[in-house]
Amino acid sequence: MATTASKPQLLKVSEAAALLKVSEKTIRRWIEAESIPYLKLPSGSYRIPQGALLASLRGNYDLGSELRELDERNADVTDEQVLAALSED
Amino acid sequence: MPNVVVDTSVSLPSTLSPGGARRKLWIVLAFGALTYEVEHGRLELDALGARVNQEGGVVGGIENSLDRLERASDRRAALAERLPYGTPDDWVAVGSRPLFDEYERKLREVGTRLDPHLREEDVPVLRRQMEAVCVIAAPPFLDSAVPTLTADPKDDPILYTALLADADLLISSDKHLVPDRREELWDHDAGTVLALTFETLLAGRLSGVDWDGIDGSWLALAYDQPD
Repeated sequence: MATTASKPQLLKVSEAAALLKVSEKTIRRWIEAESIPYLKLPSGSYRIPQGALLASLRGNYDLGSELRELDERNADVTDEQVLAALSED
Repeated sequence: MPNVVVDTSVSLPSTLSPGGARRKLWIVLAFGALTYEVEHGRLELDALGARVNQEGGVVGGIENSLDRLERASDRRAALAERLPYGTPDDWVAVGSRPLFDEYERKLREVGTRLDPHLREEDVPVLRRQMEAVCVIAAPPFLDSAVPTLTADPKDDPILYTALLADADLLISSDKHLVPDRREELWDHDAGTVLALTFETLLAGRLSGVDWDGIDGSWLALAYDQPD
């Protein structure tokens, strides 16, 4: 079942949207903007390589700024605090 | 190239605690993701072209993807410059929709117990941080396809992700996945994976890494272009 880079897992638009929990509209917008690689089949439907979709998050969002803002706010949060909060389940 | 699945016992502290030990592992995985992208990204794009040649259709988004690969190479170099000698560059995190969904579910639960509390608008942002470190993912599967594997049904999709993706390791401190709190070999029709705790990983396979030489803030280098 494993996929390789030379035989990538190709996702339908609905599968790509579910993986990232974004709307299908967002995926189609990225396709129209050519900001993710895609294959348009002769039938007109799209397929998106899974690995490239995940990697393209780094281009489609400003992850660096988002990370810095979160880290600034959580600067004093420790592993132990998070694990303790997890163990309260 | 160890492919690893990390459950919430690692992914939550990694993303929520910038100064913690698990953030340092996250940086190693981000480094591995960039290396994988640089080494394999072009192959993936070429495979799309090959398929079009065989079956017809059109390929798009290639130019932006090639630009992204170039930036990934720059970011990898920036991280490589700072990471201590001997830091592995071939550890790759594996994701799946159920793994990301479970991260998000736990994030909401844990977020209210932390100080400062997590804001609702932080949830999609943190989910992206989780997704972006996973450069490969298990083939999509339906919840109904997940077999009963452990005593906790919530753990089954996580283990199934690892088995289906041919992952080498599943890092977890969950008592159902690692009952002896050290390691557990899971063998199933879908595959085989070694589940182990973060502590076991650090004492064994990653014992040679100079963790003191890694700074949690360097994760941003995986996303930014170097100066």
